[in-house]
Amino acid sequence: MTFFKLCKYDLKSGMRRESVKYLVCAILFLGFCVGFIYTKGKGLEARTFGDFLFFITAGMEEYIPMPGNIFMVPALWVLMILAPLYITLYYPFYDLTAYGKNVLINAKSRLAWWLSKCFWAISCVFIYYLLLWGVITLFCVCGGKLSLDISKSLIFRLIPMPSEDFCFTEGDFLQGENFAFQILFMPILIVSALSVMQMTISLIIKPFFSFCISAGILVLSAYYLSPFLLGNYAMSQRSDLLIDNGVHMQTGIIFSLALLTLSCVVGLCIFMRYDILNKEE
Amino acid sequence: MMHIIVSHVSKTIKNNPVIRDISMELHSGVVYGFKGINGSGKTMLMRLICGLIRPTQGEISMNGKILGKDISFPESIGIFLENPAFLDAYSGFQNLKLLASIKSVASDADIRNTLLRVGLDPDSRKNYKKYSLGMKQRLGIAAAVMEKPDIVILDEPTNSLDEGGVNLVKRIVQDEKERGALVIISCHDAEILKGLSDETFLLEQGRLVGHITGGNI
Repeated sequence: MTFFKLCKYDLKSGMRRESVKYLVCAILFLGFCVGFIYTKGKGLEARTFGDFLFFITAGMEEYIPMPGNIFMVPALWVLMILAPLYITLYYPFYDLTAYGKNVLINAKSRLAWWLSKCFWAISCVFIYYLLLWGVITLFCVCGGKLSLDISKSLIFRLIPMPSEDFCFTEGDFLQGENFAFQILFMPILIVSALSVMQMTISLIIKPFFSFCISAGILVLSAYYLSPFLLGNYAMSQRSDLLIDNGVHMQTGIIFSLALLTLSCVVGLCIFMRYDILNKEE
Repeated sequence: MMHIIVSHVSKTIKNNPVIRDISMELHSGVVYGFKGINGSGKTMLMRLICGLIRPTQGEISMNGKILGKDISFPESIGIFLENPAFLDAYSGFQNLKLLASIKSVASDADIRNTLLRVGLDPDSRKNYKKYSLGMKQRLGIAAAVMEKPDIVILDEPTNSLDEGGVNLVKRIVQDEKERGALVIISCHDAEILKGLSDETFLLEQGRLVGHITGGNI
């Protein structure tokens, strides 16, 4: 019961605190969608919901270090993932050094407090992606197509060498049901896991440094195509459905759920003995 | 009835001993004053009793239950720690209502009465952000006492308060004592503490250096 009350409190006070950040994100999403229309989306037969989402979650093709091939961070993809991680970065610790101290003592349970913060972080990520879907839907309603199908010509524009299996699929579109989970839910799952991991690390070091660790994981994921680097699973372009040496979605689901659970449990163990002091202490 | 035993408690933070081997016994219906200069360990000792921090050595028990082992936090406690913070966008009433919703002990009427007790208007729509320092202080005190807890901890409650505010704190402390609560209060001002507390503990560099019963400090 206490857990649900704390969740309600966190959703109320946390969301209110972060509402301006969501507004900034909505403006960014508008910019990304307009950018898509005038760059990779130009000349597409019908810009679908799936096209917009694929473009935003695409990431980058595998980087092969060799002379002349300069590594360029996929800025759009990194920004799209770092934004929700930033939204969820400070609230738990701001809360703990302010009003939340009273809430925690009233709740009388460190377990419920920690779990509700984990729930809050995951909810924040989900709301962030709901907002993205909302903005894309607006663009689709005003001159696109509300479908999860992805234009094959867009995939060819983004991926120079797709897998043979993909090349031989029939039709102009990659059917939505084959790729929907990848573009809709994989980013949510992976960002949620990173967000809870970041929250746990912030119990030991300052939140800013844990945010730097998350950013580091993302850049490393872009540099190395490896199943051990979580970020790869959030890049639609690196899915094994599209490229030969791509990462497998199911492995990504297991990996991210494991990280989420582990972060939650480790964070709880730390928080049970955590000293709640003021910011300056 | 509440009975707190602080037994040989020490606390070290970042290799810095902030509380050193403190022992004391506290009972319901008594007002305890903690006196000492800044950095003497008053606030840390209060945080230890609240359960916000854990002792490095020793233990604190409340009616036989060990804090941090048998219970995470005291069963019934109201706290006012230095510089209380509330939600900026909410009024005083909304802030207290949100806090009260966790335990569901205090009704709307209780919240309104408590706000009136500390001299704040329960119907005011003014956001906490626009509160003066004194009003923030009063709201913090209201939050500590609104649920009629068994233990009331007030850390420097008279800071930023004018004479009227100080008298109000005195009245509230007296009311809480008469209700049977165990009250712990810290204050820089020896005169105010003298008038408020039944027993005073003197702290210096994290050590308990004196225990005075009665009004003379």
